[in-house]
Amino acid sequence: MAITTNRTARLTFSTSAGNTFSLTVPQPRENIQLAEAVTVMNTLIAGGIFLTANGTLTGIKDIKVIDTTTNDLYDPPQV
Amino acid sequence: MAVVSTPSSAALVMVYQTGVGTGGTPITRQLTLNNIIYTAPDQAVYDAAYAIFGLSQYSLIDVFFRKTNELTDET
Repeated sequence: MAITTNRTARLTFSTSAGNTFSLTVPQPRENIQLAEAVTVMNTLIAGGIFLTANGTLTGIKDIKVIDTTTNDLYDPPQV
Repeated sequence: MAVVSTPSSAALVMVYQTGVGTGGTPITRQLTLNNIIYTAPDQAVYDAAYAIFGLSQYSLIDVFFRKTNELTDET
C-alpha cells in the first residue's frame, strides 16, 4: 500500500492517412522544453522509419507530459 | 524442400535503465516500437532511439533492430 507517481511524455503525430500515431516516452526529464520535444519529433518524422497502419508520420499533432498518481489502498495478505 | 525467407516485419527495441538493484545490478526495462520499416537504415533507427531517450531521465543501454522473416515451404 503506497502512493506512487508515474510520469510519461506522449508524443502524438499525424499520419499520411489523416490519423494519429502516439509514442510514449517513459519518465521525461523535469525541465523538458517544448523546443526539445519538437526537435525530437521532427527527427523521427525526417528519419522516415515508421510505417503505421495509417501511413507514415507527417507532422506534429500533440505533445503532453502526463503525471499519474496511484494510491494503492489494498495489498493481498501475505501467506 | 525449399524454404524461402520473406521479410515480414520489424521493430525497434530499446533497453533502458530505471535504477540499480541490490548488489549494484542495473534494473532495466524495454520499450518496443513496432511498425518500423524493414528496410530502414540502421543509422536512422539508432538515431531515432537516442532521440526518444534524449527526452527521458532514463539512460538508454541497448538498441535492437528486430527483423522478422516469414519462412515458407515453396516445394
